[in-house]
Amino acid sequence: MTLRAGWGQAAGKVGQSLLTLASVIVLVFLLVRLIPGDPVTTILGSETSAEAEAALRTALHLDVPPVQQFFDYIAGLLHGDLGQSAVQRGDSVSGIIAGALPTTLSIVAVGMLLSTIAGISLGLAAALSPYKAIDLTVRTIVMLLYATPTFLIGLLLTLVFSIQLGWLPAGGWAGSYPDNFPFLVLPGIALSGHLGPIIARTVRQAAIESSQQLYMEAALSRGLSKSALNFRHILPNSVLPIITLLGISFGSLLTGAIIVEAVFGLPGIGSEMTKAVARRDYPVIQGIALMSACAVIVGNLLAELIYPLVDPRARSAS
Amino acid sequence: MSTSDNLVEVRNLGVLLAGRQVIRDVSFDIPRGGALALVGESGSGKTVTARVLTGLLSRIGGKVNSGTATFDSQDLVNANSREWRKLRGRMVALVPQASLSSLDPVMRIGGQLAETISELDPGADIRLRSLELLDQVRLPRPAALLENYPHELSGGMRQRLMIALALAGRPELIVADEPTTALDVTVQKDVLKLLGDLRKETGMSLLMIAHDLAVVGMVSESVAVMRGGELVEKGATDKVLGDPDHSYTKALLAARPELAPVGTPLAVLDRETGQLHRPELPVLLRPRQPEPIIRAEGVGMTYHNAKAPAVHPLDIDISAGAAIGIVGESGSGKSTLGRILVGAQLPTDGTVLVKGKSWQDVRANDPLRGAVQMIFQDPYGALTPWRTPRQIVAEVIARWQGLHGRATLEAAGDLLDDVGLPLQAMDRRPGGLSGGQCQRVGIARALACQPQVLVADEPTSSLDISAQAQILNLLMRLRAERNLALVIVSHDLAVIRHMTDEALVMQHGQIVERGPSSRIFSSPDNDYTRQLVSSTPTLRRTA
Repeated sequence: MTLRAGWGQAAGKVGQSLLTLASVIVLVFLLVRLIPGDPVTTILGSETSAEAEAALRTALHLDVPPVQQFFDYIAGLLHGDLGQSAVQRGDSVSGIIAGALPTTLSIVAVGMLLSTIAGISLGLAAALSPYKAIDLTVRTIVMLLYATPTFLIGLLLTLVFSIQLGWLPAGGWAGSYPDNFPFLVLPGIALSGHLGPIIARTVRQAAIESSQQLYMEAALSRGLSKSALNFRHILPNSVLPIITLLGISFGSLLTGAIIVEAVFGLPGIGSEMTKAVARRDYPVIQGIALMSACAVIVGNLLAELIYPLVDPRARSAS
Repeated sequence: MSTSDNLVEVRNLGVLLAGRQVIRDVSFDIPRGGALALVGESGSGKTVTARVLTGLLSRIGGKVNSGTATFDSQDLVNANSREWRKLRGRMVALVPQASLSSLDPVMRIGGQLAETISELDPGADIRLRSLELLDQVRLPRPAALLENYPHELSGGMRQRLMIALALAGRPELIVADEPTTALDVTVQKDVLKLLGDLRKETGMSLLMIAHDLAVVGMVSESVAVMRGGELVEKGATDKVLGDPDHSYTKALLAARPELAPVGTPLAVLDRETGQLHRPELPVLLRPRQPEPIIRAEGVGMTYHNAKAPAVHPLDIDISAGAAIGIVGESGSGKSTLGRILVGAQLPTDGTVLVKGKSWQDVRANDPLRGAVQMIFQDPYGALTPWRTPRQIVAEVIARWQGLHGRATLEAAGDLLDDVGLPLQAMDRRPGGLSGGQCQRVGIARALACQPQVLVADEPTSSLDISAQAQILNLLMRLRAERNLALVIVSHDLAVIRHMTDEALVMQHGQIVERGPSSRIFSSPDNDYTRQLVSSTPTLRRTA
């Protein structure tokens, strides 16, 4: 369990992630090239001039041989250049993403935070009196939430808290902090309607398992109080699986954010994606796809790197 | 309230668990400063009895439905949770069996000591007291140990730590539930000695739960034997082990291989008559066979990234009818060697030739595959849980003996009958069988391949002593009847000495001594072998 071995493990995981990233880049590059027919006519439609086609072909960088296209694409990526939008002339793809990403990340962050806090609290509350009233109530609520589609949760929240009670805005975006905060609350809650229940169920299961472990019995036999045991032993042991869960869920949270943005009219990645798909703006779709893949890879990598810091057993398992 | 000489008094105790009366009319005393060992096989009720004394009975849903149990005249049966919190740790402390799972895996040793000390010994300097406790159980480098996590300690160190945690509240009684069962014999000896020394130093009383009669003699002056929830015999340890009154105690002793002449069948208690009987063994036929079935030449195993080889290169020949023992403690490489001999694992050095052909060249459908078969340590885990013994064996018969349909099921029935599985057990799933019955199925399944060599990896170490005797008898009979070669891998010197002609003693992947079993264990040449022999708890042959 030396420090050096730990760094070696971490380096291996980073290397693996880079390999995955490389194959994602190749796939994303092929995405545009694999669309049946000519992307240019697909984008512009049949009613168009030869000049417009040629201009778009140059803009999409499709007028050079495919191999050169690939290397130019890679070279661009290394400079942070994802190409130009095919529809919004003059706008770079990276500019579009950079403009929209903070909004989406804010919702995802709020969603993750709410899911984790609510999930752990509900899960523990249920586990500490399993099969009793609290447990049954929590499990019913959690199942209901999990079964309700995100957009429906969003609409219901708007109906109650914006339209009826008038506490929070029904949608929109202030554009700067701290004015943005009120606009984040309802989207964040809506987004956690999926992850929160998963966390609650995982924590409940882990807490019940850990309360049945022999170390709980051994600690009990040493005269330690139940509440001390719950706090010091059950809580840490049942929160461990959440780290992996959050890493894996990062991708589905991004997907969920697209729907939430649509419901609340937020100017994030989701709305850019919807716009780009509607207008067949392939460079933008390509860029967003690449960015989402990166987010998923980074999320998983972070979870894998953090886990050994929290669970000592994972440190020494070679 | 009279002050009695007895710290613990249990009278006519009865316990109901899951609708069954698991303890019936059990009475015993533990004198102040004295010790009692509760001995019995699985299901005897010894652990449930310990739970009554540690207040952990309700955790498994058990309920005392008759009799009394008192600690220092205080009623334990009706104690509420507040009273139990005052008792546990301060008066009665538990040393559990499974030391790894009895420690929180994500909390440092120091933390686990600290929380216990601050609860049981408020006002004490936590660090000083922690070091003192670790020192008391003879753990080396206590200061460094505080920073370790449980999985970083060896089994023996963890068990010492469990004892240190139990001592934190300076209890008057320690309940040790099979404290050395999972440990190697050399470590077991040290831990038992520690318990004995601590009794002398602190004057505390000890209730020791054990399945092994031989262990009892090392720590306790009195013993109570339990069977099926009842206490069948109690008395001074020397008397009970040397000259028992009850037929069950006699049977437990007769089942021990070290008390029987080498290679003879072990006595088994007949459940119906209550009498001991020794099965007859057919005379061992040994046609001269110069060519060995298995010839291992320079086989060794080095795992990827490992610092040292798990098995250093060595040679073994196994001829028809031979019985070879491989002895060693955990990590000695004995199981790896066993797996290499069966061809379950290819060695990184040398080759294993089966009738002249290397395992590497033996394909899955080669009849040679069946020639060497394995018996596993965990008899239950080695069986597919949703198939009955008959189906399990029939599948193998269909594969190797070219039978079809009903004939395979009939042949499977015959084979299971031959290994002594009762008819009504043949169509039950493994979950409904005892450990000994599962092991019989495992043996029948191996026999279905018509093997010439059986490699048995700790075939009886998860079985009760009476089941062990039956399985050993079965293996001896099969060897004699079928001229089977046996390779027995075990940590148990008594089993190896009783069952084998030649033994290899392994330590750290190397053979430190090899030779005739009878000689190795009576006059060992090697220091390590000598240490193993002297650490093994044994009962002297009396008759």
